[in-house]
Amino acid sequence: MATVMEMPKLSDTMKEGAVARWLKKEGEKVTAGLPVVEIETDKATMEFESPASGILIKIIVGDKQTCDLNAPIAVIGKPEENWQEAVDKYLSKKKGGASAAKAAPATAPAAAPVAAAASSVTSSVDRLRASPLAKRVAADKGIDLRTVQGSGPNGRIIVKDVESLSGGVAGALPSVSSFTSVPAAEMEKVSLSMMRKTIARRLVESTSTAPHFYLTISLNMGPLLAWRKATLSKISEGEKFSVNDLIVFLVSRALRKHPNINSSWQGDYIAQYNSVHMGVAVALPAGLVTPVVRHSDKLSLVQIAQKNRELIKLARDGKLQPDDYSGGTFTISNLGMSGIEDFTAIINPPQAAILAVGSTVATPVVDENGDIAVEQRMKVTLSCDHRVIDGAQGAEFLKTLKTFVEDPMACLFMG
Amino acid sequence: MAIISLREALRQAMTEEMEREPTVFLMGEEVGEYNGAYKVSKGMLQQFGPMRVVDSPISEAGFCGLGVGAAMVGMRPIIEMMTWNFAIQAFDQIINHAAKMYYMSGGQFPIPMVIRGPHGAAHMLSAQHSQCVDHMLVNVPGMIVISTVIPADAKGLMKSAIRNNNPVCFLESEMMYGKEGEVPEGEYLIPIGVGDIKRKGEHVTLVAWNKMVYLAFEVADELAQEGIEVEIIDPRTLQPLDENMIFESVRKTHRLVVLEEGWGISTIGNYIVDRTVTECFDDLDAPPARVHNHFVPMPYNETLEHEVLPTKERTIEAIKKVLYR
Repeated sequence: MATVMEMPKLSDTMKEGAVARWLKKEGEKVTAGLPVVEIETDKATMEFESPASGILIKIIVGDKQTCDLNAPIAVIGKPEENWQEAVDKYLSKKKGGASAAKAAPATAPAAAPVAAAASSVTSSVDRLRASPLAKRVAADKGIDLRTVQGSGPNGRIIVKDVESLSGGVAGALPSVSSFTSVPAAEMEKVSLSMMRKTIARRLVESTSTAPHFYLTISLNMGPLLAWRKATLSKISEGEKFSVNDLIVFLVSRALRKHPNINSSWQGDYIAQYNSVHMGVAVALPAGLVTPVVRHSDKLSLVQIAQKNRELIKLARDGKLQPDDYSGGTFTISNLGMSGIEDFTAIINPPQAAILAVGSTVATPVVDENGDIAVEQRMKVTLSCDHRVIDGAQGAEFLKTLKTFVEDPMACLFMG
Repeated sequence: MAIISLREALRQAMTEEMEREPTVFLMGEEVGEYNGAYKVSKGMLQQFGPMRVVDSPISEAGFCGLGVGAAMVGMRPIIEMMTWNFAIQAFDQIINHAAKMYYMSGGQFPIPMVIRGPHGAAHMLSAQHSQCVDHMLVNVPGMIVISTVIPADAKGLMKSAIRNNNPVCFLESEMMYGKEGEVPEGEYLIPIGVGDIKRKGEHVTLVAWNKMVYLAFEVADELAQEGIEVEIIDPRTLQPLDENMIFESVRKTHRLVVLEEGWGISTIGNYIVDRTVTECFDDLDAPPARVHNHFVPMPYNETLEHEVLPTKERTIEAIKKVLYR
């Protein structure tokens, strides 16, 4: 019997679905569990799996077309089957079940595809632990549980964690709006995107729960920049790397020596990570995302550069998958290219620190002979969560970083 | 309203029903001349005479079987077991005959019989005389199982049990016969299968029955001082069980603890947790917790006996666990 494929609900805030692109053409063979179509959600474009094996006998909603959630988008079956009949049968069956479905919460039928999609995307991440009630409340409030810190056993997210979070944001917003006593005519209301809401909630959470302190150090970039210039002339286009790639590489190596910085506050213990998964902040018109370069402490400079290019492109195209931006252990935010000399960044929870990187500026310095010389200097500022990191520990890390940046050869023997 | 003890409340129910209906009679070990091992039937021999208050030989299987036979020919027997520990002798009569007769006879022989007596541990009676069988009884189709020690509930449910046309196992408690409470006089019936919210609370649902209800009260009083409001549900009837009352409470509190006497395997507590997880899955914020006896034969030693039975401390610990405190 032919199977009718529905427009899946891939995020809680998705109101209608759009087919980005079919990966198979009508008449082609499809396999259950393998991607058959790309669906555009409000957050990203995601591949969606075929619900059945057989021939894609009809595409109902074509590329770039939109339709209601759970509406039929294609029919899979045997070539001789009549797709129209299958759709009619499916729709009449659905209508019959509609009265019964009305009594049940409307989210019930949509739950299955969401769960299926979630399990396929998060398979490589640790299973999310949350109480059934916490999951339900989070879904009602549109909170992404991956961003919530669980306070129950084994980090289980319980309803208190979800409620305190939404309470925190709700509590913070009215005080902000009290400043906007400007006539309505002089104001334009910008509606909040999901990304904006997430940024607001997470950063309020970060500044209200993690006591921040800041350490700034100035690094002599002269030798490193000279080495990069000399090296770039010798390598192929595909191997090119930016100053930012160099920073990711050196910071990752430095973090390996300081696991107490590569850490996270977990309520009743501190998690120190054996690997570095580096979040790299990328500015987008709609907000900010931090795709993660996994195992950045074990990758070569060229590998980091390639991975960075790939992630930044995905981010700009809106194609990052949850796997690409979750699970970071540290973050670098670089505003050097915007001419910012130094700044402080807000920690990306549940990480324990973030490094704010400024621009490289020709700076007069007094050398050991008491003479004034000009050096290419770059300032970096480490924001630390004081629950996890003490001042001296942060300073030790920056000292290592300074050694690596000013004498990259040290990395070979110490990193 | 009169304040009377549990034993008086039970006596009142039996006496009123015997006055109302001549086919009702009481039979058991020492129910007559001795006024009952726990004085539940005190004075009843004098009032009703030896044809209706019958001293039986020491043979549970024998007089329980007599009860089944009497019920088959139109009587409404009340069979007193000195304790449910001794009723194990009569399980063939209870499970194979009382519970099955109506079904096996194609509806020809209803068995309007009440089998009643104290259940669970009393005090320092050791391994053979301190057991719970409620979980075995509820697992037999064809019987009603009531378990209560609150005087008013005992009266109202005993009267309903005697009037019911099915075999009813009625579980009391030796330690609670002297406990007093307000009991309505005269015609007072409580429907079988309806639970009772013994205390309202917002934070956690605590299901308890029989003498565990009194332990639940102690626990709730103590936790109230810490600001934890415990909702106590007493199902009163274990078969059929008032599941909806439990579900409604859990949907409010999002947490469930079951406090029951007896060992913890394949019990009514297991069943309540199973049904609640199935029906209220999305309402739960924590895995349900259970408090029950440790899995050892009951020690004679008083200190050890206290530790084997559910304690206030273990119940408080379970409640704090589901509250993540």
